[in-house]
Amino acid sequence: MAAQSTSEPQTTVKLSPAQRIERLVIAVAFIGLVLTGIPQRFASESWANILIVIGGGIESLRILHRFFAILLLAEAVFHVLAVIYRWFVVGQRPVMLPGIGDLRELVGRFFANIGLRRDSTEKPSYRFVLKFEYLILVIGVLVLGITGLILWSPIAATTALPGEVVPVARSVHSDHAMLTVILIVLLRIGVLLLWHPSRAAIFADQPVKPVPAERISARRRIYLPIAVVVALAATGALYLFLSSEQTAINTVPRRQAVIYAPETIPESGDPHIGAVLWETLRCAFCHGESAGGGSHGEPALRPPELPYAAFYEQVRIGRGEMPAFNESELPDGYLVHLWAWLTQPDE
Amino acid sequence: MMGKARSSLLILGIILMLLGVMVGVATAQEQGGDTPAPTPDPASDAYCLLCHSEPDQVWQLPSGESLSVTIDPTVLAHSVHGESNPDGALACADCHPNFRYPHPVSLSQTVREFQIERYAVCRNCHEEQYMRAQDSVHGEFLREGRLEAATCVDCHGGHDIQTPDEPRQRISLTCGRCHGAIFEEFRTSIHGAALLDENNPDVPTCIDCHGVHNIQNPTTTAFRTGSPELCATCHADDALMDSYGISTQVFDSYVAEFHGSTIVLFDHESPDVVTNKAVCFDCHGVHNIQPVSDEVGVSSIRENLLATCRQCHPDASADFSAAWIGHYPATAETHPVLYFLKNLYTLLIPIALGIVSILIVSDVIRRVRRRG
Repeated sequence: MAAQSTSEPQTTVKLSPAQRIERLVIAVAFIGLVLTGIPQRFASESWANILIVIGGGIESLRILHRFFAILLLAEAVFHVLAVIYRWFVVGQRPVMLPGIGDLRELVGRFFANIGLRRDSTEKPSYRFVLKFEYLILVIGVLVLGITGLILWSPIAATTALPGEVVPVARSVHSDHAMLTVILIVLLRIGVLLLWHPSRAAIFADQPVKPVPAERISARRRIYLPIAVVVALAATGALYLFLSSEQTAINTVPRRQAVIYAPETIPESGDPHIGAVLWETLRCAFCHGESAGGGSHGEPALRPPELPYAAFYEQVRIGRGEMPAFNESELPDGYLVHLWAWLTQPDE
Repeated sequence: MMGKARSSLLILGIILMLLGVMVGVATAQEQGGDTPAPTPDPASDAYCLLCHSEPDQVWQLPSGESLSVTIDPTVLAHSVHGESNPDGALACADCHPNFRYPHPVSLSQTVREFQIERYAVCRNCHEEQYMRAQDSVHGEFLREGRLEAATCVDCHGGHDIQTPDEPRQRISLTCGRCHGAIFEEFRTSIHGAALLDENNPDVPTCIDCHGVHNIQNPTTTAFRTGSPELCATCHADDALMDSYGISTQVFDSYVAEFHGSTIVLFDHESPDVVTNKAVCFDCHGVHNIQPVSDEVGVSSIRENLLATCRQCHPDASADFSAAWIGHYPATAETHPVLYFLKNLYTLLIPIALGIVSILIVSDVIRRVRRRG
């Protein structure tokens, strides 16, 4: 609790060019991922549609999202290697990960702010905010990286993992992205507008222990080749994961269907269809609604006394008052259904 | 002698007169009256029917085809253009203007050419429907010279036109006359069987998906991209789906996932751009859609799901199909991990938001207190 009540020295830790580039890459990748990811999550909203159109359409937006993701993953690999380098070669212990002390500091700061604890500090440190922000970023890259890769290549992922991992990845990717964005944006607002914490305060408690130059040189000779191999292996593994199998075909196969087929004969007649045809064609006009015969002596047809061939011939040729119906008026297929109804016993 | 001969001639004359009167009466009766029957007005139906009511009247076309031109006046009278027409029964000349006898020479070589030449007359009364048909795939094909494309008469008939959607099954039967193979698929589908066998008023007929007169080409990219919205017309309708115990989640869940969200975006922004994302009919079939509630449907979906996935994802592993959790939200019973994580984030996001917000607000309170 002592740390929270003491004013921090206004010293700065000078960032190396590599660290500056890292920060720039993280900022660009984060903003890029947010701008290309949020519209995908809220795709049904009109404001998201505007962003999608600005991004060149949903497919372009997805490609951009993946570009920024690769950028951030590459930075993450570089960062891990750099942290290990600083630890193993230079002798600097990682200090950015928050511990239990930082959590206590957070709680103490809150109580002090609202007056439940004595607060003599003119300018509180808030250095724990930077540590929590770092942790949020690390967890975010891990969770979103893994789930994002599963979504990028679900085919490859499900060769080793159960299929349900895909909807889980989709859900977690979407929700965790929202969580990360909310936290980072709010913390950045606090950091930039209110708290102005100094990284120097973090390093101040854990000064760098000097390491002899010869030892640094020796360890560098061991570490650098390993780091290069690890970096190349990570790149190769990622490439193989994303390209070893085809995720989806580019063109969905067209269904083949015979569009114009006026001479189709049904495999079997349907009495229900036959009944409708009887009603809608001119049959009922002469032979009665139930095919029980007409008022001018037209014969009853249900059940028919003729075999199908004779029935067919009579329809086509006609007989007496019965006009002939050609195939364009009364297709063969219709006759099959009509016959099914005529021969069906009354219910 | 002379007197006897004179009286014989008189009797013969009387007999001949009587015979003449009898023949005259008989002839007059046969002709229907004392005056010869008047020739009907050439513009009247009766005039047309002098010839066209005769049985077996055919017209030989240059192609060798013959077209029956016998008209049954009773059939015409019972059509929608007959006695029941609220504007009065149409006369022959209404649809066949300038067809007085002798008929004008037709340039049509075939029956089909004649039908296509003649159907434009429908426009005289049905301008809107006619113009919509011109904008349809049928109209487009006709202009391209594909003579089999449907005209007004092919769907509605000529002299025996009836109300086209009474009964409702009639609609699909009409389409099936030309699209027989597709009709055969449709009639055994969940929609077709309910329509044709049960006269179910809720299931779609052909025109509910394809439109009536302005039927668009269903093989275009735009039709494919817009098709989920078409299915949603019914399947996102809570009132309609409730009657059948079908959840409207089927559509919402599609739109919420990868395929659906992409398709909806394409439909809104660039419907003519080809996309490889699946639409409803890629998985469920087009005209042969089967129910998922019966044995055939469920087993067929379970068994064929991977095969269905592999149509677009050829390298899909055996477990890939489990990535599809169905059209219903995850529950603790069906997908416990997914359910737990969803609920976890539902709690985590507001908690995290609250903690940081409280920290910011508390700092603002501190500053205000210090100034005070």
